[in-house]
Amino acid sequence: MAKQSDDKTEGPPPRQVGRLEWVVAALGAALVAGVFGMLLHEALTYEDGPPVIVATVLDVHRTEGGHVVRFTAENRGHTTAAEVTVLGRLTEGDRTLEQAEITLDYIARKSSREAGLVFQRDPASAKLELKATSYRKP
Amino acid sequence: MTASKAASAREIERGFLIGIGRAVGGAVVFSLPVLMTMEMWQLGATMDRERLLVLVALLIPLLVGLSHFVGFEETTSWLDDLRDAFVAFAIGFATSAVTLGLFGLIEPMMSFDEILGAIVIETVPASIGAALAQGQFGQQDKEDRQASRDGGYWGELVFMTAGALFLSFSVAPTEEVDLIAAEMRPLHVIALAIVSIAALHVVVYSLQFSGQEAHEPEGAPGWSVFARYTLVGYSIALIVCFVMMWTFGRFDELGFTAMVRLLVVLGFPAAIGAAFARLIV
Repeated sequence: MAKQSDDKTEGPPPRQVGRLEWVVAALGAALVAGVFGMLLHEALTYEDGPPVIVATVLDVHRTEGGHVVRFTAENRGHTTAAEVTVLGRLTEGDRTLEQAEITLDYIARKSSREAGLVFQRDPASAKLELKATSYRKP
Repeated sequence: MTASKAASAREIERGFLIGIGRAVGGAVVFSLPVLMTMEMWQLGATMDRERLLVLVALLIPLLVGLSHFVGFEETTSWLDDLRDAFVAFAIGFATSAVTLGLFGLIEPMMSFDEILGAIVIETVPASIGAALAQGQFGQQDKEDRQASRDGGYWGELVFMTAGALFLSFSVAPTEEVDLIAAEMRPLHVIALAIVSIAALHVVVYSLQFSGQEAHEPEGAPGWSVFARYTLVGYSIALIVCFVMMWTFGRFDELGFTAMVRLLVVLGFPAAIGAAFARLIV
């Protein structure tokens, strides 16, 4: 203590470093190492290939605004797709009764997005088809 | 351990916790514009992993440099600076993770890789903000503050880098940069470059005269300031922009002249950021 007050008269006292600070610093170092490791792993295991987008219906709700079909669009491929358009069609035999389309901003690789389409007809009364029709490289 | 020693240890920890609070504040201030930009999360998810790696690899030395020159003790060793840099990284990472979580942008539906990418890219501005605020760890009086602001020529360049990055990072991911660059005619580009340099010089020059650059010998000739600060500052701004745009993959489909145009457009906020680094930082 005495030494500290001595220093004060001469200049800034040397900053004392508590244990907690070292702990946080170690955490930071571990994070940096972890991030590096993960990114390196991803970079090394990266495979080029088209995005593989699979749309699956989650549920259908009858609402005042129509029949809302909630679905997930999952990108099972190794590359990210942007502006993914998903087309939903209600068909009966060869005839298309109704169709709805949505554009999803982007679906990262191995990720999924939830979205919905609205139909006036009850999808249960016909065949509901969901598929991604286009995408753009981000 | 004696009672007084324990008490002073507690005091140190308390000081550190206060410092952390400050650093979190700095992280939020620096990263909020980017945290709330959609293009940024998207980038985190889609960016080339090698390039993200390069970005993080460049971030660490910058944090170390900032800790060194902003740090209020001039005698700190590089180990201390490295420790401060890691603390800043941890705080930046935690801040962006928590904020993205609060915004509902981290969902179980997203892959780990997408979440990590978004957090890591936001960590860049957040940890810089943390490092800058962290420079004020512990108590310090006016004299310390003065010392911290006087990092010499190299310190000045580090500040400029941080300032350039600060102002251009939030603009870089947006589409508007491309749009502006596309709208510009060659004459516009040249004019913008000249204006950037002139603005940088005016600010640097006026700051020198207001006595903020105490380490500069009195009455250094104007051309010397121009060469050593303005031109070097503009180069730093352009380099920062180049590295950023390259890591973001924005040059990938561009020809050389389009690239230069884009650089000059983004170089404008970067130059302004570099010029005002002392005020922002």
